[in-house]
Amino acid sequence: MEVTMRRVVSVEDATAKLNGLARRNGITNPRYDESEADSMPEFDALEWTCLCSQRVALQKRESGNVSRDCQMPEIFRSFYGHKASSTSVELENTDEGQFRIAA
Amino acid sequence: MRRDNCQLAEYKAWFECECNKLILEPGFSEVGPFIDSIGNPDSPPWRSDLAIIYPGSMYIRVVEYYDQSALIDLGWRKYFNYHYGPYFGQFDENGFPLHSKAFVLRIETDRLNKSHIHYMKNPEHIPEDRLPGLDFDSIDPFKFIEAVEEHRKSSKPLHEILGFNVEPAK
Repeated sequence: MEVTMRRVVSVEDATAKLNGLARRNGITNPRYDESEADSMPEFDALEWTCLCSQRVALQKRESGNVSRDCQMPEIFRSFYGHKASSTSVELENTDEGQFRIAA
Repeated sequence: MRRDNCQLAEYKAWFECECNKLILEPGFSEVGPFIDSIGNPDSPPWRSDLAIIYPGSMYIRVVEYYDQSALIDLGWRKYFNYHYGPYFGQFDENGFPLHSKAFVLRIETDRLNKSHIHYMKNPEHIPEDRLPGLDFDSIDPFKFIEAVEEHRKSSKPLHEILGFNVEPAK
């Protein structure tokens, strides 16, 4: 026997599966809470419980990714200050630097 | 030995290895084993699901749910359900026999009733403290499947094979 891995990859994916289980068990307006498993047959209850906590884990992961994308890492903040985006001043090449070194 | 406080990859390797050690009665069909996880990184929670369907009308289904332990990214078995009982010719979209209340033995730990069994057509929840000899911490899907196999071959009662008694309610 070979184990088949089935991935629940996003909050939407988990929610769609939970909605399917809710429909099958006559639950309208599910809250995606573990306690809703109490009225379900055993195997559906286990699937529900697992999907609820997977959904929470995926929510945490997704919100973690969003904050990572938007926030400047601590080490760069010390170099660039706290303004993540600012208009840069146009630079102009002059010989000034070379003259200084030569002097 | 049951895996606990493990990573998903370890659990999968253990599950696959134990599956391959099983010697099952000819003619059976299987559904799964499946492990539902949240992908990379391969962290808890996850759920495994396997059914063995015997020719005739009986089947085994073993489901385990692993949650995140206090040690980060390791899974521990929080709930499980090992079921042996009849099916009635109807299957869900994955091929698992549709749930019915009929059973011969179901050993489970769930949210509401904690560790208990249902046994011998008795619908009551028989709690762990009335089951001397049954160790809920060490029982695993494969011990359960092997016990059912032995029961089917020898007709020896499952409680004798698994080494437990059922004490009357106080």
